[in-house]
Amino acid sequence: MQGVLFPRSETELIQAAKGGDGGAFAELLRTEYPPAFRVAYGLLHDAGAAEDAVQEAAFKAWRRIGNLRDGSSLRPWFLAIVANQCRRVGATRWWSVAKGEPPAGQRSAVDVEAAVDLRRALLRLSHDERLIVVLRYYLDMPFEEIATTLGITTKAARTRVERAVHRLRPIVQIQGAAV
Amino acid sequence: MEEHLLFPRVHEALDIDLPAGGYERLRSALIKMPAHPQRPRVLPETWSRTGFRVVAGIALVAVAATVAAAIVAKHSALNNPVPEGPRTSISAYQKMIKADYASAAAAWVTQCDIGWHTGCGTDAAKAIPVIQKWLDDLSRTATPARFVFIDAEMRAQLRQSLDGERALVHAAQANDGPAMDTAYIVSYFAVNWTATVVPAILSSRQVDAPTYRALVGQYRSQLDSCVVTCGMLATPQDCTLNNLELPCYDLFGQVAVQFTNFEASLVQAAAPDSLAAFDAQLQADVARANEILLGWRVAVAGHDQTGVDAGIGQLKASILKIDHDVDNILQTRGV
Repeated sequence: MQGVLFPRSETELIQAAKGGDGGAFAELLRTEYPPAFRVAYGLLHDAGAAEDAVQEAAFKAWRRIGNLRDGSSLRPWFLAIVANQCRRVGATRWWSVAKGEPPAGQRSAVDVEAAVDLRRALLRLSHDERLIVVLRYYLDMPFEEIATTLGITTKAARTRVERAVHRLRPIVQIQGAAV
Repeated sequence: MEEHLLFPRVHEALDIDLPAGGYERLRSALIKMPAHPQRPRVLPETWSRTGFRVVAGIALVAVAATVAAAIVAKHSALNNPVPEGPRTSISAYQKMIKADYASAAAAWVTQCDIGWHTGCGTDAAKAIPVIQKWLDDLSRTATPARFVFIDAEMRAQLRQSLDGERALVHAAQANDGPAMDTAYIVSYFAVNWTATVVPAILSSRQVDAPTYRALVGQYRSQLDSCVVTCGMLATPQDCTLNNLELPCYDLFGQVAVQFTNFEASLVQAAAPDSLAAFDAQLQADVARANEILLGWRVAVAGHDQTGVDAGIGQLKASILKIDHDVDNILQTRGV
């Protein structure tokens, strides 16, 4: 009840989680679950595998919550763990990733075709390239946040996005994407 | 296509509803997890043959050096506990440990992980001088009598971490992923170990005999129950590295947590002078278990089944000795 009446800040929840409060950690993940699932789905293209990957990543994050630097936000740290988990999963289930699956929802035939083309194009990128495309164009992250998540400079994040878009271009006829 | 057009294209390609009840399932699974937030990491599922050979070689040399160093350090600490001049005061020792641990804890924060090698070499290179400084500080210090055993163990842990970080730098330079994974696993044991033991050192105080006996009895019970629940005696086949890295690694984690908690407890609630001799024997045997765990860690990381099996056997023998020590302590009741 205390959590409902007096919602705790992210900093307070992180401190409580570091002290072993599993409820606080679960509460932290309530807001992180949607972006984490989207990152996992964007990397794996399989909803079931994405849910499993987020769950495994959450277990890892719980075990390592003590490593989260004081004052840091949970999101970039947790998304990095999710991405890492997807890398491991992807390495062992590439055959099923390559098959792909159509996204949910009703769309026109042209839209579906275009979407499938882009999905196929994404699958041809390396894990790192796909990750940066997902962070930038699916989670709509600014370069600064991408940089924090990947532990790189903002300039490097911008360069990597440019490189990934350049790799996508011949596949989906992206012309002159300026990033 | 301009960048602003790429946003809707990617959304269109990937947008999907969140799985119904997904967060609730996650929350439910998290609640079933152990309360202690610190646990060792997961082993990689696949190992290249070349990577394994290189790493196994490094690991065997590292464990031999670490165990030898730990034994030398312990004997040195016990036989010649005061190198020069008077012992450092307990408060000065605690102050030094607090500062060195704070630096190391910051240096150990890294994005590097199993299968995720971003920044591994760079982060390891930064951690090396910090760990080395901690070791140098310990070497320069005439350890207070209360911390002689834990000090020797800490040096062994830090040496192993240092070996792992150095191997990580070399593996990163060679861009050898499996070797980076193994080096990382070797280096990481000290992170969990110090996170438990350092707070115990900082809050250490001498307790009376009944309190000490009750505490020792309690931790012996937990250790004994681990013999059953951790599968050390009943199902050692669970720790078969060829196809079951994860159970084997979980087994290591469960056992390591028990011993580390026991060690931390003996430091936090220091024995009264009347039980000092019994406590010294118990701490020596618990320290021996820590040495075995250091070797076991490297064996698991290096995919060395013989080393893993030997470690389990040695730990069983070690637990029997600890049981005997605790019996002796409990029999002092009323003496």
